[in-house]
Amino acid sequence: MTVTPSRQGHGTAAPGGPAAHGAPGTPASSARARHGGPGRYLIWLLAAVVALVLGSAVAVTIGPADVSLAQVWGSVAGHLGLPGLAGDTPVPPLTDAIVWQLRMPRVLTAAMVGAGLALSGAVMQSVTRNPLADPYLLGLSSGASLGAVCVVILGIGFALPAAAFAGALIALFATLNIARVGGSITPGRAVLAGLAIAQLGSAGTSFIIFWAAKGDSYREILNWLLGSLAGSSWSSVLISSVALVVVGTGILLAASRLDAFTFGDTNAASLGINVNATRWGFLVAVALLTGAMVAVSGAIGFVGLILPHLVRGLSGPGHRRLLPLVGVVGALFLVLADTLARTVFDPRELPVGIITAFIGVPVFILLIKRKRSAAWA
Amino acid sequence: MSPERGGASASAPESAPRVAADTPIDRSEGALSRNSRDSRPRDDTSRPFGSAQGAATGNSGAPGDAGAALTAGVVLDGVSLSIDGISILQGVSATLPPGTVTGLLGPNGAGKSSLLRIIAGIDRADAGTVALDGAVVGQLRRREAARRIALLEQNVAPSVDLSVRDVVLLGRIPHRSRLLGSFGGDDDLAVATEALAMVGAADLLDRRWHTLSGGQQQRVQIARALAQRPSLLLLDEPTNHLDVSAQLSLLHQVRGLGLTSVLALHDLNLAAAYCDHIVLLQAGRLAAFGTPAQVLRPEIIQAVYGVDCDIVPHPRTGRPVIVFSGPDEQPEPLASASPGARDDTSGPLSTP
Repeated sequence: MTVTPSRQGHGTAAPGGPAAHGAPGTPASSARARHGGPGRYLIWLLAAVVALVLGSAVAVTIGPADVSLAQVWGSVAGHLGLPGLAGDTPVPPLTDAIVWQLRMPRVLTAAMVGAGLALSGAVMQSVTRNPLADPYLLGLSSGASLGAVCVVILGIGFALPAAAFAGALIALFATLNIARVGGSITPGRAVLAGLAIAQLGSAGTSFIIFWAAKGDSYREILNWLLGSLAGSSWSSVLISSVALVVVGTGILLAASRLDAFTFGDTNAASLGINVNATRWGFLVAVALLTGAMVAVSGAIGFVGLILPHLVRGLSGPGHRRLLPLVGVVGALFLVLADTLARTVFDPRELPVGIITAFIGVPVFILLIKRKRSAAWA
Repeated sequence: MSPERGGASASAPESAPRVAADTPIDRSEGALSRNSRDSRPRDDTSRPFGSAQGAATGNSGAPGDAGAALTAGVVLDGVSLSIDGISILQGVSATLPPGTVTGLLGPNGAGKSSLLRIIAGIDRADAGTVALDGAVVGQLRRREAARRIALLEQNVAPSVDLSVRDVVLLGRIPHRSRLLGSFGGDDDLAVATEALAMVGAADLLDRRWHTLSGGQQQRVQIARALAQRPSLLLLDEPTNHLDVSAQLSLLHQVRGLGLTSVLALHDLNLAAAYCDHIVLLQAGRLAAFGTPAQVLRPEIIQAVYGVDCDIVPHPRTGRPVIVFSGPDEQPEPLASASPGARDDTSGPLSTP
């Protein structure tokens, strides 16, 4: 194909830019400036990272015992083997234990889980072309909870992430198969099917905990069903961070292929995408990620649903930009939500899923009211 | 363009003369048989078929030597497809010279979209092959096929709010590297801008997709397809839901691209006005193939669509115009109109 200026002779001048007028090598610099030029996007990303680091540090200082930022820094630097950077203030052993054994793992786990769930939601919304897709709404989280509870009851805790992954995968298959009954999978149908599977998974989780009841089973049930980071330890950090790094890297490398689904399967296929293999690859990756996150935190809702919609407004719909930003913002969101969950009604602690639901449901309603395109039917 | 190639696989009127059981159209140049692969070169050399195409379209892009003509363009050879035991396409063969615009016609369910998907390499034919410029499409890797062939399906809607720039940039996906394709691609925007300019839509670059009119959306989709830098453009009912002005300007634009194009169309008159060749499908079989003047004839249309019509020459272009008659409009005998239409059409329709 040759480079041909517009044959119509009109309408070729992009606003403020000469690039469109048959000058193929010229980058359309003016056109880049609007909506998510690389500069503005990088500023958003940088701001989100800074906010995440600062927010996490501040979150560690918040709690029943007073801890200063300097003490947090001193404790972290000490444990990372950087005593030279720790400053002059000696950290009391008790404070050090609170920071390093209790609050740091919890804040880090919150960040990993938030990033993982937000990424999962963004990927699911794209490959299913369903703006309501989310690991929680489509039943993956409940399936993962059920799987996790089964192995906890059986006392084989080391299999926790694997069982949660299996539960998430089974729930995903079940939801998509129910949604497919009687025709194509519409977003509404998928959500209804997900609702059924989520209810089934929750009932199963509750049943198993009751059946094996000993001690405070109500609290345990609530923690699995609503999600809680209260039990976070360094092993939670390990599980969630390995899953996030491994699966997240794979998803980021393939981000461009998610764009191809924007106009549907045929369009993706005509862009050279192996539609079925790609979709299932992404969905299995999401099940892995969700499984790992649920294994350490229970089923936390609405993170994967609302954050992709909010972040798209900043990054644009392209996944090369959307995914990194949504991960960082998801991490920040859950760190803040968990800090609220453990401090607002201090000394009582709420499951963090209550906070995300309080924030997420109004946003969810706004989303439904705002977008009334055919795709939602 | 050699006459042999133009009709090599596409015309075999003697071998199986009937398209529909009740309507004989065996005398027609364009009538095609289900056994068209049996056609013999001897038949073809006696026909004005290939030269007719050249004359009718004024196509200057055809290769000069027969060797190149053998491979250039699109060659459908006995394409067949069945799904769950139901035959969708049966033995469709045709040769579409490079740079020409082909209309893919047929009643609903005739297999137009299925054929387009097979030509695009998205679906595989059960039997038969599609070749583009000598390469068998079914053997190309998906990504390679997407660099050569762009398909626009009908009535697409995006799942998210996005800008025209985002849409056109989708066409660059097949050109990105597999592993690190998520990064880089600085030239992509230049290609996208250029593609928009080619369809006269450069001023739409920063618009939001959902604020565009139907015609503008189709143009942007075509620009997306052009950003793939294809050598073959496939459009599935591109004029659907467009007003008449948008229909005409869109097809005019597609013709002006100079790309080999195949358009599934419902409107026979649009096909007559803008296409160099017509592939007419009926129930998955090739009912006729040829120039609009050869294919769009009352007896063929009656056989395929079951509708009475008269063909009159367009007062300005001389191309055939189909005037349909409903069941109640039978005062004039059909025979009185057809011969006149044949004399007036520009295509060389004289039967041997």
